[in-house]
Amino acid sequence: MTSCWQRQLAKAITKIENMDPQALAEAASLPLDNSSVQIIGVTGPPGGGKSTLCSQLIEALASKHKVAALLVDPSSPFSGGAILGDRIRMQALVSNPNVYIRSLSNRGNAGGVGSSVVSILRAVMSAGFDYIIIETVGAGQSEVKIASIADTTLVVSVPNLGDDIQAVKSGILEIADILVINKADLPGVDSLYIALRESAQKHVDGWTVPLCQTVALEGLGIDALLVEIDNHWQWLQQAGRLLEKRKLAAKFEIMELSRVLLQKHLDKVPADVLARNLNRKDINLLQRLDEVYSELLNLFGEV
Amino acid sequence: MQDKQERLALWQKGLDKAKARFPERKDKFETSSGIPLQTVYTALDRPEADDFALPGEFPYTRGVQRNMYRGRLWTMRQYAGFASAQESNERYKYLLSQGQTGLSVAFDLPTQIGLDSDHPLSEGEVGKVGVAIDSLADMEILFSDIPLDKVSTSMTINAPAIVLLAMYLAVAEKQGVDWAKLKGTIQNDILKEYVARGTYIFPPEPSLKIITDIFAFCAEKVPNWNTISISGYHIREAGATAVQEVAFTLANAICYVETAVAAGLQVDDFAPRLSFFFNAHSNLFEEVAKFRAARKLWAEIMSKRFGAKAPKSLLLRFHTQTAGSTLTAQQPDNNVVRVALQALSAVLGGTQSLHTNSRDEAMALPSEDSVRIALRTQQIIAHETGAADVVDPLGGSYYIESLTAQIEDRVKEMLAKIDEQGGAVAAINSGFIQRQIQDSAYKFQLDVETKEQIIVGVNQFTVDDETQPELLRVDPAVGIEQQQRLAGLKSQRKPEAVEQALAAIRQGAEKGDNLFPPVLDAVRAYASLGEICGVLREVYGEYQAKDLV
Amino acid sequence: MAPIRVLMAKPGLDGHDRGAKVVSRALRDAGMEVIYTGLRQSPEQIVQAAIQEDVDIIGLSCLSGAHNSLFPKVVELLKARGAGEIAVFGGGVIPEADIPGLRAAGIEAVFTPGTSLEEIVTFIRERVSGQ
Repeated sequence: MTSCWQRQLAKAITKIENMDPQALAEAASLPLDNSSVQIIGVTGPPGGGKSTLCSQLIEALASKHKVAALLVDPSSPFSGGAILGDRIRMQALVSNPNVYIRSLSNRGNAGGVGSSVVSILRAVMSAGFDYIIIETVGAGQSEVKIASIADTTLVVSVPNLGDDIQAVKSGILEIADILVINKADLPGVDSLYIALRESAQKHVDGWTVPLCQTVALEGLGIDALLVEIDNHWQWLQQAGRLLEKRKLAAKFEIMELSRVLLQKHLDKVPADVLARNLNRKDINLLQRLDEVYSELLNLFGEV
Repeated sequence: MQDKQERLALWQKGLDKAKARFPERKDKFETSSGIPLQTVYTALDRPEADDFALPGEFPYTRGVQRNMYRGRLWTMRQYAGFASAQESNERYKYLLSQGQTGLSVAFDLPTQIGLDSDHPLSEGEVGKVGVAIDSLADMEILFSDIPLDKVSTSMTINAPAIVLLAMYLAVAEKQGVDWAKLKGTIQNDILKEYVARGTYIFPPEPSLKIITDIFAFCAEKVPNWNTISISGYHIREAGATAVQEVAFTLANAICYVETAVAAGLQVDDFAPRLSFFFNAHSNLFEEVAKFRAARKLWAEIMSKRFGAKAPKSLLLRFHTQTAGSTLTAQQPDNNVVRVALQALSAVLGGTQSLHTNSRDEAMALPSEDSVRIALRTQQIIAHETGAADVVDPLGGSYYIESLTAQIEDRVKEMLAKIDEQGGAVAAINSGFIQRQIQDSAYKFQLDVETKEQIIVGVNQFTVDDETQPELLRVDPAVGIEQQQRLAGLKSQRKPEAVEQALAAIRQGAEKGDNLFPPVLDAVRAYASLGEICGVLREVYGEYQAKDLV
Repeated sequence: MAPIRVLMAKPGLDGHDRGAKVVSRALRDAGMEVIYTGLRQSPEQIVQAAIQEDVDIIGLSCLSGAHNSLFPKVVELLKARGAGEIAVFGGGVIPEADIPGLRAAGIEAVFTPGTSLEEIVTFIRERVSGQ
């Protein structure tokens, strides 16, 4: 029964996401160097059809392989809650025993993924998948973190979003291992193609970033995209590049965990100490802050 | 003019003093669409437009006919249908005997989604929100002893409209009724299904193609049939404001006309058969103004944008239903009053036909008693209030004319936004329209939570002990009986004829031919709805929701 | 504090999702994480999604009258798959007379038209934190 192991995995992910110390410690003991799992990151602007594209990739891969998908949506800056709606386009896959889909909130983190994502990856990886697909928030141009996490990063663009030039400027194209023009049946595809071609011809250590065109809604171009994903995988396997990538992910994980632990530390500062400093009547905060600063230094120690 | 402005300014000073002593109930007064309301309207608020507009004349703000209800009252058309074809047939005959003048068929969800009653997804749904129709055999029972040349029939069917209309035509053949004598409407409005109602099957492109096939076929063979009822009703029910209701409905209408014209149809050949369907909601004056504005906007769109020449192409004729979403499960008898006022707005707004909701519909399908009260409500408006005795009785009211103009302006703004995005289909695909509707729905609910919006009996004037009315219950055995009937049919019909007919549909769909003739043949051979839609699903694929919350 | 995770689903063929979406937004604004699965979900799909998402509670919305067959099926399947501790509540056009039967079948609360959002939020908070 698939529901049993899926349930265990699901519960483990929840605990990691909630920064449960024991779950984090357990995750940290799991390996990240499993070279039979390809981690595919999918990023790009909102409205680019990322979810539909992911659902097509999952469906195609799941015919022969076990596939996990982590779908990240943004949390509300006001309540911290979130509506995680990417699943809607994938519900047809839910009964497929080869597929595990999990929606995640970014929990207020910039960059398109939450801080615990690599720890979650360790847990998912140990559950025996062949592919792990991560779909980022898709809030715009700043989602470069995915490149530190995924083995193969897909940057998805669509014609007529008016952001062809924006994308070129912003640097998100720089992180692409594969560029994808989705909704390639729309007018405007030619000018986008021209705009992207330059980035696509970038060579990195023998890898030429390919430029694929898809119409995900109709399943067009998916096979060719899968070939490129596999080509990139083959290239990574050579000369230890994959392990380099994974080390990058582990470093990202250390930085994120440190940040979270630091935040927790900060949260432990007695509220009255902060409040006292925020509301000091004896000094004019607009004039000088050095006394407050030295008190903070005392509190946290010299950094 | 100068005089009037001075008088108004003086009056305003007096008003400010009065307000200082007696503050107003609210900080601001506005309509459901957020149109801010003045304390009073005067001649100064009259839009500059025609001061001597008349009904039955361009731009038809005051009505599509010169004498309106003085000639013939609106069609009283209660949406009904449940359980089996047999039981629905009995309800129709009852309604006709009670003075109802047109039929309105409600289909169950499996029928609306093109699934047979024995499909796994149909479980629990057969006969629930309407009648279950699997094949022509069911349709024959549904209309038995009802001469189709004597009634007008409206069918709320969208994605598989082509199949159900073909069945209706086949029943007419069997009754020996000439298709030219058939009167009625199919809803056939797929675009609002994607944004508001949810009973879609195929993606927009093939769906629009099928709709155009129906336009073309009926223009030639069923000339008095309304081939589409472009519906704002469900958009409003999903939470849209009055302005959004009109704007999104007209945006969809524009898309249908563009598609048909692009397919080579002449606008004046099919435009006279386009009809509309609106919601009559609770803000009485905003609703009246909404109907008037919609008529004017459509006449202008048809003449200016599409160059329609035939006067009938310019007329926005519409059916109205009172707002189901305003009915409350608490103190359900209050719903009778809500419905009466909403129905009045539709009559004052010049509707062509009207469905009044029953008081118990927030809890279940309406009982026979409740349906009768709902019908009587219309009859009281028609015969006792005098509302039907003068055309556009609120025309010329400073307030109504000003609201009409403001709704018109706001709708135009929204239409421009949708045009900018590439039209209705693009705005649906991007989720723009869905988001607008959901934002309004959520805002309304938050207003109810904070009591900014009072709902009598729900967030104020509540009672602790509610008595529960008798409700209609659909016998769960309906599903099983319907499955047995379908199995019986399948064993009796000629399988080769069905196979051939289905193959012809597949071929037609693949080649892009008009699908109406092969669908008609399949229906005549007793192919089931699920079989016909199944073939089309294979060719066209299924729509994937762009659901964003 | 760990956010409460809720799966909102529309079982059956009913396409009226205004209520489900309004409730989803209200739960988000109350700090919960809401997974919305969209229209036309079978009980199997709903249960499998709930397991994969490790939700604390499932909300089912149905306005077509099919609640008596669809809601209990979700509870049964949850139990059969070892996820019986996931709570289930429902809402929609549901006659008062059906509510005791649904409660007996394991639907812990049934919200009919006119229910305030606050009432739903409070129910979920109390139910989940009281585990």
